Amino acid sequence: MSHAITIDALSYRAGRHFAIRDLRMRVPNGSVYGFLGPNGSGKTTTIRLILGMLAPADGTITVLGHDMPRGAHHALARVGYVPERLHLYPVLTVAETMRYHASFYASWDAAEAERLRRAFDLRGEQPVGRLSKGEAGKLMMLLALSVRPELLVLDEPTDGLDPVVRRDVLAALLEYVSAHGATVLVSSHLVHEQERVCDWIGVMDGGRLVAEMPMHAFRSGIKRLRIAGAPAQTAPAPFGILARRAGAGREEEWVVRDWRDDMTSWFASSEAALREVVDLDLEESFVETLRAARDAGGRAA
Amino acid sequence: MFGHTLYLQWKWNRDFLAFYTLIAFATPLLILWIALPHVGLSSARELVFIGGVVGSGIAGISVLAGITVAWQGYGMDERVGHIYALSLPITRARALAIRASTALGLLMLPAVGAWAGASLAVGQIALPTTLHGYAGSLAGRALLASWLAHACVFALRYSAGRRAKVVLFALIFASGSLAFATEAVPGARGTILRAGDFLISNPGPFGAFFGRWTLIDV
Repeated sequence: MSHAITIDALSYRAGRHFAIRDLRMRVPNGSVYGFLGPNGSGKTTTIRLILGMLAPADGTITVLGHDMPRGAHHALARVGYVPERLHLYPVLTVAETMRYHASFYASWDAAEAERLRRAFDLRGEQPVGRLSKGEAGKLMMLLALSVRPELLVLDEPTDGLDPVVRRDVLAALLEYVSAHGATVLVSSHLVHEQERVCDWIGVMDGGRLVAEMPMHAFRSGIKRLRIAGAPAQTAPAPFGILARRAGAGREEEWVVRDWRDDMTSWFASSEAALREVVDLDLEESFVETLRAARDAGGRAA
Repeated sequence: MFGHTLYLQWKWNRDFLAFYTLIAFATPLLILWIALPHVGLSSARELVFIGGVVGSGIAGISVLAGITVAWQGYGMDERVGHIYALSLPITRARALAIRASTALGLLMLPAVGAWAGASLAVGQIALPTTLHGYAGSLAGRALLASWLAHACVFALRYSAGRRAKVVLFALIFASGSLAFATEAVPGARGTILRAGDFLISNPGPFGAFFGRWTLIDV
């Protein structure tokens, strides 16, 4: 499998209290990669490192075959980027911003930009500084899509947008992706939104990527098990145990990953009784993954 | 790319540029109109003095225009966290070169204002045969001074970023320390004065700021 983004052994320190440590990440070509994590987990910093805006202290980043940040100007010509906050010059109007942006991209599609401007109901003469949050979000998405990118990097693109605008923006994004097969890295803490659009998931917490897997594995592989007579030793288990908690009576509640239905026989062999297997939705899976990572981090510390 | 950046820079700085252009245009005329009734046209020495006052005024305006455009230009990116500029597919060196060159182009406006005002002012007086008006030279020097001021502040802002004020303070402190050293350290005075003279006299790096600025001369 080839990758649009490859990160190995990445380290970066921002101030005294935050650091990205030994980050390894793979964004497969053609995937919609959901980059999940709580606020302050390092998603935006990682995105800025990916785009060459920040220089890593150690490690390597490759974007569309270009080493970053050295080859940033080559890679960025093929990337559409929507940051978490409005980053455009407030003094320009919408039409002037489109012309300014177009002047930097050989791949700019003027007809598509105009179509999106009409679809998003943006007026050309509106000053960027006076756009509402929804209009600003739509303009940023318009600019990102009109460069006909091979890779879209979206940092909380719908955060703070009302449901109507969010639907418009996501619809335009999905339409582009399905038509062009572009790779998308979309960061968000809105888990349900990721569930709808992503086929890969990476979970970031405290500057570490604590999970990275296909969406179906994340959604179907993480379960909550109710077990009676649970064994003390769990080393030979064929699944990963994210959490163990005491349940009612002699029961225990386990949260496990990489679960398959044929694994129920493991409990019989270890003289435990599996009472129930509970499906978790993406948000619960996300929370349990984070908890497990934090517990493991706490134990390591 | 250059044209759109020039337009962006113009839109961002146009109020200040219009102000400096107007002031540069009006300064020679105002000084002449205020001074002439008092000194008359009889004395070549007094006319040269008035020319010097005009020249000093233009020098100050040019330097201020250069500083303002550089400081403001950086502020445009700082306001949006530099994210947009850094996300464009262009090397940083090229981005800086475009930004600097568009600013230098815009700084021609105050120089043109100075040239027009100075030409009009000189045209209003009958100079003695021994004196000449130097509107073109004054405007040219004003342009050089504004470019130099812009280059200094541009370099400081883009290299030091948020620490620009600290670096500026450190430079002022270092200059003050050197001035103190000329008095306190025996033997240092000659070296420091020679270095200072090299910096501020033509063709030293800051020669355009110093020396004689005048509109009317022999």
